[in-house]
Amino acid sequence: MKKRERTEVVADILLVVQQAGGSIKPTHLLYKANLSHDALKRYVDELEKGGMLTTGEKNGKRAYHLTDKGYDFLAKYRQFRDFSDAFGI
Amino acid sequence: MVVTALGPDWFLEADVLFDVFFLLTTALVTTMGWRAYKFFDEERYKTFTTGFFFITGSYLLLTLSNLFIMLELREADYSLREVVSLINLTTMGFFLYAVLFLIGLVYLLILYMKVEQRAVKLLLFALVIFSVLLSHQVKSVFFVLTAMLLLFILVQLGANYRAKRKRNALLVLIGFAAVFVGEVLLVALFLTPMLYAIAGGLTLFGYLCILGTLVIR
Repeated sequence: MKKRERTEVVADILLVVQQAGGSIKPTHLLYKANLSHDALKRYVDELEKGGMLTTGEKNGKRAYHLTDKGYDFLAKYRQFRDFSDAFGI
Repeated sequence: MVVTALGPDWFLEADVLFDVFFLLTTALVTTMGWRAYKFFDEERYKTFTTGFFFITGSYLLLTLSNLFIMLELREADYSLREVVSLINLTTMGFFLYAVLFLIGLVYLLILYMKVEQRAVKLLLFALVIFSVLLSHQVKSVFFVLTAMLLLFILVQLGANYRAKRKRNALLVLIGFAAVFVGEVLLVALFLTPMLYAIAGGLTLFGYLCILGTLVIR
């Protein structure tokens, strides 16, 4: 898979978590991220290793939380996407 | 813009200032393009950044040569040899500016027209560079080629705005359109040197729009 597609998938996952208020249950993430279970697990593991997501609890249940690094990634992603859209890249 | 002798005398210092502004704006676009390339790691961003890198380089060269000539012209008592040297420097400065600028535009054309084949890319580069190299009317050929390349790029930017409908895409479109009109006016420079100053103003407006996309959020 080309790295740019990977970047898009990562951004989509983090956006889903952000839109859920910064934390989300695994089943909700699976539903909204539009990925297979194995693919999502691979990405989430990578994001946890990269420090953009952490595993914690929400309402007593297991949940993924967006970290500051995750928020930074999303901010940069939006900035570069805006730039890309403006210049038609 | 281009070296002296094309526009009115009163425009000389403004011309150098405009060139500095064009240099800074294109350098910012290049930097942003580079950062986007590092983020996405996608060939398209590399092509875009390379194009603007050459355009920035062209303005850097033009600014330095114009500045040098402007400072030299303040001196009095030139010998004929010194005048000829200055003219040669002016010509060389413009020539290098033209080649770099055209290379930059060709990179952008390759990006926007989605040219994939290496042979076609090489042909485009060869056509523009040799057209300038082998012409007796370097400036006229440069203005015409630049206007043509900008027109093709403009069509793609128009399609981009129609697809995205974003304010910054419109700003980029307007910016490039203003630069394009400026180049068209330069083709008609034989009519009056005043067109050079008008073209300079239009190009300034164009780059202001482009700069606006980088600073307005």
